[in-house]
Amino acid sequence: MTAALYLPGDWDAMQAAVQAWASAALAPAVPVIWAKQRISPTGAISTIGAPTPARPYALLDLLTPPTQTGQAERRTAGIAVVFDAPSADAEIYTLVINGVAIPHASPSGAGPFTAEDVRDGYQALLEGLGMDALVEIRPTPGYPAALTLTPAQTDPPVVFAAGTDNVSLKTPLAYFGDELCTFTIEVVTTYPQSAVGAVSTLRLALESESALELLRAGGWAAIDVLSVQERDLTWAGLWEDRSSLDFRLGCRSRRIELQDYIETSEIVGALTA
Amino acid sequence: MPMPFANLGPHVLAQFGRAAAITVERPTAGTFSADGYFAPGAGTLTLAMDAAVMPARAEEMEALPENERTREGILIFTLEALRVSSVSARTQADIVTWAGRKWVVASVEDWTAQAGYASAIALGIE
Repeated sequence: MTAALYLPGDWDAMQAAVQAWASAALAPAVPVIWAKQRISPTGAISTIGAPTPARPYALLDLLTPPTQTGQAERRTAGIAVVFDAPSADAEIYTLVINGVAIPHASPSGAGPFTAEDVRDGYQALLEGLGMDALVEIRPTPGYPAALTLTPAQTDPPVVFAAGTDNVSLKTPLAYFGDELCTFTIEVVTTYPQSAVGAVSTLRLALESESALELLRAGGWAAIDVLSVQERDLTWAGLWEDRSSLDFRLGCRSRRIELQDYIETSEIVGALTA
Repeated sequence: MPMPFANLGPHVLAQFGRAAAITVERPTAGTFSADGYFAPGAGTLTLAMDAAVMPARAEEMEALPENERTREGILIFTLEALRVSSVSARTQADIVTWAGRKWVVASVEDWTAQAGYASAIALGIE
C-alpha cells in the first residue's frame, strides 16, 4: 500500500510524481524537464546558463501554487512523537513510550538519513504497533535536517526524559484540508513533429487508469483539464511547434498543531561529540 | 581559407582598452536526469583570456530575450570566442569573472575567422 502523501511536508515527492506521470506518458520520445531548474546551493556554476534538451522536449511548470479550498477538517490523533534533533550528528537508537521500547532499524543500515526517513520509519513502526500516531521531525534551527542513525551500541546509553530537547509525546490536532494547484506542460517540437499530438497523448493519459495510478501514488486526485493551447513559431530558421496543456490537480493537506504533553517518554541513545 | 579581413583582434582590444585578463569558467557537458533537472558536468575548464570589457549599450541589451534585457550587462571583446549554452553539446554558457564579479555569457558575435576577434554580452549573476 502506498503511503498517503500530504502537503506541505510531501510537496517534493508530489511534484516528482507529476513529472514521473508526464515522463511515462510521453516516454521515450519526449523528455520532460522542469521549467524552473533547481539552483545548486553549492558550486559557483550550478545550473546557470544550462541549455534546453534537443527538441522535442516538454517543459513542466507550476502555474498556481496549492490553494486551500473550503474548511479544513480537524481531527485528533492518539499521540504525536516529536523529535527535536539536538545536533546534526545525533544518534538515535530506540524510542521508549510508556516503557515499551520501539527500536528503529534504518532501511539500508547506513546513513546519513533525512528527517523524512526517520519520520517515515517511526510512523510505520508505530502504526504496526496499532498506535494511532503522527510523527513529526523538528530539526534544531541552525543544523541541517539530517540525522545519522547507527546500529545500537553497547556503551551505556544516555537517557533523555520527556520534555527535554530530544523527544516528547504530545496531543496533536491535525487539520486535514483539500487543496488545488495548477500545472502547465508545454511540448516543444520541430517540423514535422507535432506538439499537438504529444499534448493529446498527455490529455489521454489524464484519463487512463494506469497512468493515473502514478498520480494517485503521488497523493493527487481530482484531476481537471483546464485548457489546451496550440501555437507555432519560427525559431532559428526552423518551424518550432509548441502546444501546451494546463491541468489542475487536487490533493490533501495536513497541518499539525501540538498541544500539551500527555505521556512520559524517553529516548535511549547516545550523542556523538 | 584565408582571413577575408585584416587580423583586427589586437587592434580591437587596444582600441577599447585592454583590461586585465578575464577568467572564463567553461563547464563540461551535463545532462538532464530522469527527474527533469539539469545535472551539470563534473568538471569545469578554467581559461585566462585577454579582453577589453565595457558596459553593454542599451541597444545591445535590447537585442537580448525579453527577460534578460533589464539585467546588468557587459560587452566583452576577446581574441577567442566565448560560448553560449549549446543544445547539441549539452554545455552551459561560459561564466566570466571580471571586476570581482561573475557574468554569464548570453550572446556571442564570433568574427574570429574573418577578423580575428569576437564580442560577447554577459549578464551579471552575482
